[in-house]
Amino acid sequence: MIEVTGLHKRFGAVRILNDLSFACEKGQITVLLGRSGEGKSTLIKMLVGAMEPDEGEIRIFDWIIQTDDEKTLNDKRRKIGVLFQHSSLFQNMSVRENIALPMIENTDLDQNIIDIMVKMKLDQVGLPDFEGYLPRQLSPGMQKRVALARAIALEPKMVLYDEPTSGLDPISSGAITKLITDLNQVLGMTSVVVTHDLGSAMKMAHKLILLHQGKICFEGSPDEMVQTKDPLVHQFINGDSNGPIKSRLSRGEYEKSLLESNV
Amino acid sequence: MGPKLGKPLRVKQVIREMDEMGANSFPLILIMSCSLGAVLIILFGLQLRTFGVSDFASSIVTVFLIRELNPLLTGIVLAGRVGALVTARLATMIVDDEMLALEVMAINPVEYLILPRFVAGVIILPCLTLIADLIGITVSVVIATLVLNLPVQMYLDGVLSAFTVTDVFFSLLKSVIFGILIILIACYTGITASGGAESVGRATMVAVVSCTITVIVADGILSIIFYLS
Repeated sequence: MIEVTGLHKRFGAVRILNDLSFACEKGQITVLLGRSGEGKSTLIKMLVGAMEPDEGEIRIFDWIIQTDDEKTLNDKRRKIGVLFQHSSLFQNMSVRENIALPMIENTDLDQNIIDIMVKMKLDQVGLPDFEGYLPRQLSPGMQKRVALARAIALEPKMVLYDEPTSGLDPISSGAITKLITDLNQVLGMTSVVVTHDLGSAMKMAHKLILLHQGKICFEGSPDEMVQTKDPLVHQFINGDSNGPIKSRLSRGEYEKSLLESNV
Repeated sequence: MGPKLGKPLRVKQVIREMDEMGANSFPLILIMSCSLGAVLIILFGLQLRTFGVSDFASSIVTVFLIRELNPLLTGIVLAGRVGALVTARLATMIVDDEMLALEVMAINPVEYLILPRFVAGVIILPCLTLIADLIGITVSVVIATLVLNLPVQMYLDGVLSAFTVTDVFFSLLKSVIFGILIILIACYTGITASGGAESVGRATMVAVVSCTITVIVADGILSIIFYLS
């Protein structure tokens, strides 16, 4: 379904992704974990063709996502929904207009049909009767739900979630996690979730991928992650400040780590 | 869900942008043109009266307003008002990933965001310039009649004799060019903003300054070209 092969990405002197390869199975939820700055959000941008890798290939539904042809890329993008970290709702548009936008722009559906579909999408994310609200009138959790309704507006085959629970209280976070699981089960959508939230990752993931210094340091099921003896994974799971991943670096150590990641 | 067969005409968005640019700028244009009309007629009326040729005041004020001051000052007002509005809106969309959201929804940001603003800006600036001409001349007629005691008919005859289609055409052409420059600079500055909230403020400041300077310089160049041709 998704095949990432030999992906490299560098910003200036810093290598973010270093020969990254993995695959996500159709209809499953794959969760990408890692510390801040490990290139998870960069990877999401590459998966939708909004950023080019320096090297490597991304295949989604057997298409190579990197292309210079905007029309071909847009045809692919219509099959992919994205939920952004900060929701990225259009603040001057109502909830209804936000969700209707991809349908208005990408389909020839009649306005009445679009209105019905907007209601359906809002029902699916548990926000019926909120069409008339502006995004700023909603809580962050509700904004995420509206953004999710917009992401699934075109009934995509795959949804990418960039930090779906960041900035949310535990209850809203749990609700979003359940929503992702439900949408995956009910609609059979393939999902790729980027998160720091280990609790929600464990609940929803079929497969977990842990990134460290631009490479995969663990790939497996939640049970396998709990049982692994890898000290790096253990440190990540337990949130220890002591271990192979250093939480505090001196300037010299930081510069050395940059050089090591460039090897 | 079937794909869309053609690009939609974004008339609604153009009208929304024109409303936002035009309606919000109108009070400024009103104040500016009233003030200009009043000050110019008093200045020229009193000066020319000392030479006994105050009946020329009407034609001088009309030429001044239509050819030079209204297109330039309307351009400067909109450089500030519209330049800031467009840049701040686009830069905020960049910072909040709204532009990226458009891209991944297979919506071309240039067609969706910039084109309607470009069309609205190109239409609204000449419209506001015409309104400014009308208000400025009307105020000058009222002040000339009530304050300077010039006969209304004589003043109107002077206005009509000075009023040429060529002047109006050049004035509107200038406004169209100012509109194009303002929107292009504002959009470019907005979409090239990067970083956090601070970059929105910085981009807005850069856009307002750049638009204002560009309008002033363009006005000088265009005036020289028009007069020489």
